[in-house]
Amino acid sequence: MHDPIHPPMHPPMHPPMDDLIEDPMDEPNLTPSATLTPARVYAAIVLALGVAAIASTGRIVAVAERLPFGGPRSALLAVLRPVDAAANAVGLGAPGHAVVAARGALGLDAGGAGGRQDGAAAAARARAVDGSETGGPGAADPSASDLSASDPSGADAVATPDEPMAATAAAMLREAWHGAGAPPGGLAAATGGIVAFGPTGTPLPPPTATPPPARPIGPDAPLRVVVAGDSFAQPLGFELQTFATRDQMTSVEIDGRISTGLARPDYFDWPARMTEIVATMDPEAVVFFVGANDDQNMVLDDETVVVMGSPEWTDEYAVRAALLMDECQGRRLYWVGMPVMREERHQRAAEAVNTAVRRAGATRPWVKFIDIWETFKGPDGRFSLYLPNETGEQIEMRGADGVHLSRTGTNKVAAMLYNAFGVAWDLATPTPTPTATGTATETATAEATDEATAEPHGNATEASTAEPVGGWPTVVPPPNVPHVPRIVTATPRG
Amino acid sequence: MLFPTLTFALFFLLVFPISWALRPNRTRWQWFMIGASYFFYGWWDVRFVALIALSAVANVAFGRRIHAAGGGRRRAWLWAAVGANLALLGWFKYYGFFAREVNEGLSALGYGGGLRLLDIALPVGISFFTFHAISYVVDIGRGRLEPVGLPEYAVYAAFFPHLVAGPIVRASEFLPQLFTPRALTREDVTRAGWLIAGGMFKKVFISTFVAAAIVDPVFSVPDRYGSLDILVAIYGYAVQIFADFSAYTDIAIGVALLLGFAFPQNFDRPYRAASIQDFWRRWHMTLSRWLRDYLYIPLGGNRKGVVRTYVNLIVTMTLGGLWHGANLTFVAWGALHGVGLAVERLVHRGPRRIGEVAAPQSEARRWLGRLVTFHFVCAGWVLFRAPTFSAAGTVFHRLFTAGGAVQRATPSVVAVIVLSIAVQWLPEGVGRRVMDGFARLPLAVQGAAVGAALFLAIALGPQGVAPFIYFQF
Repeated sequence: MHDPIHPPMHPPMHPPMDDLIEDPMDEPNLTPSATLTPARVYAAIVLALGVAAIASTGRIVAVAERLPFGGPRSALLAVLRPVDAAANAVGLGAPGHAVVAARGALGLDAGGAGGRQDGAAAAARARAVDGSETGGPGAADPSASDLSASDPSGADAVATPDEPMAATAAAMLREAWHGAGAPPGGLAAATGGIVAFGPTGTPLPPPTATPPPARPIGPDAPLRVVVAGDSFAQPLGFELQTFATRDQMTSVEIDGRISTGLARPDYFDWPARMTEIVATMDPEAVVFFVGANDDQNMVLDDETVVVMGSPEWTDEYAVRAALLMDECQGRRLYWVGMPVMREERHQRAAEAVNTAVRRAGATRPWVKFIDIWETFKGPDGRFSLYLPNETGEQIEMRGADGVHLSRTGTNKVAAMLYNAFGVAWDLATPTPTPTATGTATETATAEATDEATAEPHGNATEASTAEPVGGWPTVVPPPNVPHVPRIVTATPRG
Repeated sequence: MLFPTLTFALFFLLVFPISWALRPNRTRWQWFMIGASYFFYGWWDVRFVALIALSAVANVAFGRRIHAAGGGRRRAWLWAAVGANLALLGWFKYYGFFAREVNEGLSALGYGGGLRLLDIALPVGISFFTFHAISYVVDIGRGRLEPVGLPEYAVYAAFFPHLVAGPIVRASEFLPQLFTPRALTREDVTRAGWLIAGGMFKKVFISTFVAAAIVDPVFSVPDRYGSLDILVAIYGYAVQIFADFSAYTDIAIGVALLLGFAFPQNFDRPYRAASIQDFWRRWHMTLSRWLRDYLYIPLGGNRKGVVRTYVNLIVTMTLGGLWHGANLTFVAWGALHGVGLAVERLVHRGPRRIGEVAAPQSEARRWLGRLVTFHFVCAGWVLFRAPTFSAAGTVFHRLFTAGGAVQRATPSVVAVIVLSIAVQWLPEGVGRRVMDGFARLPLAVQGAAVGAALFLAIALGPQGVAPFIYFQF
């Protein structure tokens, strides 16, 4: 194509184009045809998007519901929910339901990739939390009274300060997670006795259960592990699966749901999902890794808004964490804490999440908090993309987004977990076989740590002992950590 | 802002009418489009808006200097301009890679220290606006283009349809369209709807489904899967990367057409290629010609003898591989294609002169060529997808030795992959005839049909859309 405004001043400096690669612009790809006015084309665009939107109102409402609580979300939902209701009333939602049903029937649900739960139960829970069940579409959106999430003071954190925090939390949890009626014996029975939880971190009640006894583990009866959580969990599960393929001592399933956490049960209800996981997969060890999406306000069922960064937020998060932990009674739950973050807002949320989870887990002996904060802290105590390994070599341990872990970082956490498994179960034999993965390898250092006691640091050749932690066995068998590939370059950055 | 999102739909509903309302006044239109494009870009990370603005100011200044200078000074300014653009790209994209490799080398030689590793954030699309900038200054240096003002250049560099992942449009293709606006033709609008709806379907359904169902699990833990799962995962990645990348550029071309700009075609059913050369004529076509125009030809192309031609080919493709990612696996992938092209040229062309028409191939031979080429390309994709050579080695090793039960290659996964490849093998003209038939429908019916296709993509896809693979390049 020649520039009609600026025609070439000189002949081309090069000989005729090489014939290796043709010029895509040389091929005629457009033929003259009738001209249309922009207004007509705009009408066609609006029609196309309108058809797509009307048939997809349920999905669009779901997208809007995922927004952080606040004015824009409220305004959007105030418009979208009536449209969705109207579309469903006249049957316009039917194609969407049909496609979703067909997708499931044809096996096109990849599983684990999505976030929002489908189904009536999740919808009912969402309505309960959003208040639309009683207040009508849009009328009772809790975000109408939202407060700035950036307000760290917490002074106005609770919209109804006269009401005890425990009561509001209990009411929300009872309504949203256990149906309209309280379970027999009240919330205490359902939540393992946490109703005495106070508004500013009152210690939780004493343990109600002990960890299950460890059984012999072997390739013919591997340890059943489920890794659940958000976008941190999926790659962690892959790393643990890599370990599992080497020694056959564990069998690892993954339930990773991107963009999920505990702050938004209206979007994804992890305690409810954990009930299903426990019932259907019967894991002996559950690894849970969430928190990076929880840097947002939480809303209780009475429309009380709990502001991220306030003490009440941490309290509420501890309640939710405790509920999930209690779903795992009779198994061992390894709750991976948040690492140090680059952005101040993420950092604040990560600290609050860790505080809350530690508190909830402190009185639950089947729960082990895997503290990775120190592991990923830079020399100045802050976020660092690169961290030195045992030989001082700088390794890329974090994602370029300042939030996630790199593949090597994930591998490190997997090694910590594997060591933690080794504390409870004897994973010492048989010795894992080296694989082709990783030209240069390093033996991962056991760094499973606990909020109460730093874990023993072991290596592949010697056993060590550890202080008892919350009822855990005291003898640490040979950690038997598989060789960890030293991946110098992590996943390509975007 | 990602194309297949509600946010972009709302953005475009605003931009389209304002753009056409302002189009008669080029100056106002340009400033509006710069603002809209910077907003689009700033949606990811507002810090880097200043970077593309500064890049525009610098390249306009370079363009003027190159144009005004003569002889050796022109050449010096041209080198300075290309060097500055490459330095920007190198700093953001390759410093970490370079420092790691240097430190590894020093360590292997027994020296400590080395370069400090820095936490450098990579601006989205930096490769693409660097390529656009180099195209602009080099074409001025070659006397094929006259310099333009800051708003004209800024629109060219930042025009949001091609800003973050191409296609790579030459300045000499884009700038004339600023001065002589295209009318909205019926054919353009039909093609735009076709490209956008098809792109949405490829990205939201095919790419995300294949990735989640088989590619990500198998490539993450190849030790866990048997040969058949690994084979289907490799085919699956071929489908995923094509669906993902061609979806982005299809939508980009469609959106540009609706705004009155024609972009070059970027993909032409690449898996029907009967040779590696044919593949590169069909895959990321605007990158292929960019590499040809701004790397292969300056290196001497095929004008400096047979041996030098092969060297130039391999060097060009190897650097093209490095462009795809700061990792030696990408370098190896590029080199593999370079060597493949060289060997193919050696075997098939022999002493035949450049430009001489090859003897027509039989149908059987063409299909054999397709099969061989497709599997060569797939083997390359393993290097492209695997994070390390050893991981790629594991995939290849298990592909031939693992055996084992099928876990991931379910009938639905296999069906989606096979159909996605088979549609590229349809006879020539089938797609054109279908689109011609579609173009004859009334505009309102076309709009409704595109809406139905968008709905289908949304309904079949998962919640949330992963970023496009090529954003990282």
